[in-house]
Amino acid sequence: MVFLLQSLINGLLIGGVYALVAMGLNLMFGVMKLVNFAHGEFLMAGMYAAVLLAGLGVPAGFWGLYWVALPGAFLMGGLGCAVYLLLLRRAAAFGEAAQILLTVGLSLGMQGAAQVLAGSDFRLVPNPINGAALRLGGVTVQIGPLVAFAVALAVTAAMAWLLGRSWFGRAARAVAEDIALAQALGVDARRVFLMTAALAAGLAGLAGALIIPYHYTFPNVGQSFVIVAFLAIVIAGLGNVLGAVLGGLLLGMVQSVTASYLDLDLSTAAIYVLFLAVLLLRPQGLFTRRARTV
Amino acid sequence: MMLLKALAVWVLALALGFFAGSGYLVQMATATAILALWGQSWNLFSGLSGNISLGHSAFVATAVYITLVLFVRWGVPPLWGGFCGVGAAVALAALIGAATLRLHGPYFSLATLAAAAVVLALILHYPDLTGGASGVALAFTHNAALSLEFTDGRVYYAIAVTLLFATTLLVRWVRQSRLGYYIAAIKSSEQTAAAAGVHVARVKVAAFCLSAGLTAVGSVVYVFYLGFADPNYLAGLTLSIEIALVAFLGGADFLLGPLVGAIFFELIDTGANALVGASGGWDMMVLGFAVVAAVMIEPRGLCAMAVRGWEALRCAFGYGGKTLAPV
Repeated sequence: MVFLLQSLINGLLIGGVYALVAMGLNLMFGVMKLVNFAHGEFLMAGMYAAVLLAGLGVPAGFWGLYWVALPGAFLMGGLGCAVYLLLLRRAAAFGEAAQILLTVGLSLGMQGAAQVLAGSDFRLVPNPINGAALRLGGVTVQIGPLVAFAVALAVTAAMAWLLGRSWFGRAARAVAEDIALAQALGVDARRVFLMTAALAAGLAGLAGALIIPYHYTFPNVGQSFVIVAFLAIVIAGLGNVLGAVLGGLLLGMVQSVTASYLDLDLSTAAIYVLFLAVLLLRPQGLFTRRARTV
Repeated sequence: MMLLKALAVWVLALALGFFAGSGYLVQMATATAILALWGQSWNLFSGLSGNISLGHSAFVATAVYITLVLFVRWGVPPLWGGFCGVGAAVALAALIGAATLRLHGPYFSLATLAAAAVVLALILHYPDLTGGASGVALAFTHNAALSLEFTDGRVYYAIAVTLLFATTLLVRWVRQSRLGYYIAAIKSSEQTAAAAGVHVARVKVAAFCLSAGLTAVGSVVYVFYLGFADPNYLAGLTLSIEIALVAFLGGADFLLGPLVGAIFFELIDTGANALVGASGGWDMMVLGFAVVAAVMIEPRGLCAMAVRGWEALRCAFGYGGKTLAPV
């Protein structure tokens, strides 16, 4: 029982990171109708930014590493803007296949660039957060994943406000629904796209910053997170940004429980099988009410 | 006439390989031919129908592992085992195809990606049968056609080039056949095609199976040429992406697109390796950014780029008008 609880908690905490990555991915899909295969590379680049800054010096204190990690998230927001302005803005006219090719190319290029610039070593900044844990009864809760999870929940609340109540959210939903109509009513779609790209990349960067204390940094670290995030957004429903959070948490727990009880390899297979089942039985997603044609 | 020309090119390609000896160039050419063959097979379904499969490595791995397990465990000659492997890949394609039929766009891509990941997980989970993550190594001591064992690399080159030519001719024939027109109709609109009497489901599954079968044939030859099966590559996402990349980069609308894409891919790969060494990520970086640049310049691929360049040249010298408008 304690064992089950432990693996559920582990899964829930890592699920928070999946949720952050999945939210950005789904925001981009919902608003820009773009499946961004390079999304995980923003997480990776954010981690390298943090490792680089940490090399210059880490502020003293238990939480010191977060202070050098968090600027990486904002850097990634900027990088997201640059990618939109340089590539995605024009690629909108290219059609889906060319867009997939473009983002896949970008993903490979960024992974290669990371390997060229930083080498393929696994890096971990020594820090006191790694390994620190709370003990509650028989259950151990690692501090690093707990912080990541808490921040993910706070960001989810902020996103709910942003999408539901702010100017940006109304404009983004309008563009997602019908871009021509939104533009006719005076919404500047390009500005919405630019902000979407920045926000999505920034969320991936934030996920990278949050796992810095306890997760190794290496050139293709983004892949392991983004693939689960892909599955999470389909399970939740494509374009359903807040549903993506539930999808991320669910997959984190399924992965953790199957890894504990069956086998690490099968934990990957388990989430894919769940994904295929949802795709076939409820293609609009578990957490999306409206039926849609896929 | 077309057939005669193709035959001439095929003989020329074989002769070139024969006189080049069995050195590095032939190895590279063999790898290129296999990659082009995979791209061509991929294009038959995904390029023509517009449903991007990111899981073709599932068919590669299924065919390879069925053949190898039959060979290594039970001594079934790979030539016969290969047929079983190809059959298994086609059966898998029928299963995946039937299950993912109604999925479009990114849903289909992600579903195929997931299917390949399940195949990889299964291979890794049964190491007693498949050798697990450390793969299967084949040691060749003698020539045996039945076992697809040849000590001379040129034989593999000849097989690969022949298969590539056969596949290309087949794809050409399919494009002009009833099936090809059905697929083209499905690409432009599934509803319209269905309304016009096309059995959308049947056509999609048939094309997907054909594509998987051709991919599988190339895979069996490839693994015996390589002499080693690495599950993380053969069933991995990287290979699926490479296959799709090669076809798309060359130009999905062109018959020779996958071949052009494969040559471009191998040139960049070996070029980067020769200039800066195999390790260090240079090859990946150059390839990735080259793909980005190619898509930004001409999203319809390198062949379209060449056609546009050619037309521009003709116009510059006062002949003819444009046939391919810029995007």
